[in-house]
Amino acid sequence: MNIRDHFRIGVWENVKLGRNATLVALILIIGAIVAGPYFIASRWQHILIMWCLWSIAGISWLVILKVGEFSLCSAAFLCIGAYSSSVMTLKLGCPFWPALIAGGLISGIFALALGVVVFRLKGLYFLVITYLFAEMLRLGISLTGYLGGGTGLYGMPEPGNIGFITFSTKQGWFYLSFLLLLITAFTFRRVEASRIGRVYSYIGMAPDLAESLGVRIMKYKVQAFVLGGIFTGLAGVVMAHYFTGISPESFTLYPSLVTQLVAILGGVPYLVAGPVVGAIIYSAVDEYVAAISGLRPLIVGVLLVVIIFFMPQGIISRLRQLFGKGREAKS
Amino acid sequence: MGSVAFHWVTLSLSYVLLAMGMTLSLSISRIVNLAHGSFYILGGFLFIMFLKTVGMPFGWSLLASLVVLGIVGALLEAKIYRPLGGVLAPSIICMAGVLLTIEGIVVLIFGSDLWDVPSYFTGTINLDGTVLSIERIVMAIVALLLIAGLYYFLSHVRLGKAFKATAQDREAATLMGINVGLVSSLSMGIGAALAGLAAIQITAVYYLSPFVSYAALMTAFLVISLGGMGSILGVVVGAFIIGFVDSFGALWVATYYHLIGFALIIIIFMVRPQGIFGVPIKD
Repeated sequence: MNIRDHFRIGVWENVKLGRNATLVALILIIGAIVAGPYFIASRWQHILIMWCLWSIAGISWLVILKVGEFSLCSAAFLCIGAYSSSVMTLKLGCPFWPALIAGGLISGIFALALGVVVFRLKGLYFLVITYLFAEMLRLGISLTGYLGGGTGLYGMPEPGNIGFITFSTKQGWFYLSFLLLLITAFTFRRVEASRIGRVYSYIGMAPDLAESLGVRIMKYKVQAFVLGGIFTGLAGVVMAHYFTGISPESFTLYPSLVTQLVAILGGVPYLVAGPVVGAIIYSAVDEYVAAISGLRPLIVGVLLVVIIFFMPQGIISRLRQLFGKGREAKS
Repeated sequence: MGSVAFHWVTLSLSYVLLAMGMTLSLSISRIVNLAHGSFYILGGFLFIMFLKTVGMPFGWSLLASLVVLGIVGALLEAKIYRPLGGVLAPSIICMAGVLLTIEGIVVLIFGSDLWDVPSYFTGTINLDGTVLSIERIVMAIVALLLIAGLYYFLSHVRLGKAFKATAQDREAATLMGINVGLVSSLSMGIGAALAGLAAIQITAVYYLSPFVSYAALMTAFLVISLGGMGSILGVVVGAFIIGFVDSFGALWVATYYHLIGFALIIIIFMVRPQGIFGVPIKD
């Protein structure tokens, strides 16, 4: 089959609902066991933390693609979450946990306000306006002295210990981000299995038809956008406090592209499993090439092109294909 | 004030060159070309490479970098973009991949320092107390000639008319015997070369680094969404508005001028989503 036919079949237009909850569960359990963080090197703990955070961002991006729009502002939501919680803890003296929740909510509020405006636009216009929003936010922050300007904010306090979980080492951060990933995965599994999830895919596949049948497209699109915004914001909060420093330069187009890479690497048809699988590959690769400047964008860029050309449906679909064929050959 | 006005005009003409390629590929190939920002830095760095490393004279290295860039753009359209069949999500992701790839290659070769393009024309003209640099006058004239040439090409030359026909209706153009693939490749090649020229012009005033690709992309986005997506006149008007904001704005409100451009865009998007001169793009 020629590559053009792959797209014509409409894999991209109708992001199908992931059917392999077992696979997700399996990967998550394996992750948890492997993470018995006392047994693995700190480098791998870092990889696992980034895995959780990128998975969350990837799932959130994919749900917006599912309602048929291509957004370029994952970085903006990460940014909003990160900055709002940092300001709360650093400037207002708020403890970490309320700031975490507030970061997600503020990000969701921004998504609501933005969504009401931008979902009047479609396709290319939507893409351009979301990108413009992300850049405007970044520039606005870098010009605001209260938010640290171009240098950013540093020295976020770490949350207090909970029992044996300490946040001065990476273990606590892993447990926190893993918990967030579980919540995200569970939420979006529930969403996609429910009536709302089916409405999302109708809207993604045939917006005009859905509208003619009385579906309030605007409402569902904004809803998906807000859901994505909240969870991306939460990931942003954890990112900021884990790195204990953020600057406007951390939220360029690059994180948005990484989010997409993570989602398409695993497989766009799988709302939850796709980003989860993609993110572990990306995080591991990223950690080992991060030392060489210039290699990071190069690898992400080449991967994006290669995946689109050779595995447009992602790794999971390719593996299923291989296994399916293997079984047929045996029997 | 006179020198700021001069800065406005020259900068805006460079912006026209920068955004022209974006609007060409948008109207002909129906793509928001994220890789356009990388054409910009590629142009600048190819020029520096030909001039400093290879040691070619100024004119020849200018020509060589533009030709190489044109070939890169045309190949990109033919080999990467066209096989995807124009479906939105995969083509955007692919072009984003190209953007990052070129950025990575440039960083690997040139490092992430700031670079300066050496000036060739030195000297100034003193006009009633306003000092104008000859280099920028030459640049403005070159840009004007190119824009006029492109306009003539699109409205009077047979191949240029084929560009317009393809932009209007791709299938009808194919039926009329126009080689649509060739037209698309050529349009992206021309756009890439113009963006490279804009890079060389703008770098003479500002600086060049592998990371200004995002700023260039941003400027091109602002210009085309303000002026109207897919309209040549819109690009010129949009470029002069954004150029005004970037020159006079910088004078009046310091660094906050960036936000003025965004504010304008937001207003335009609320009132007239297709931009001032834009035609709504069917998806």
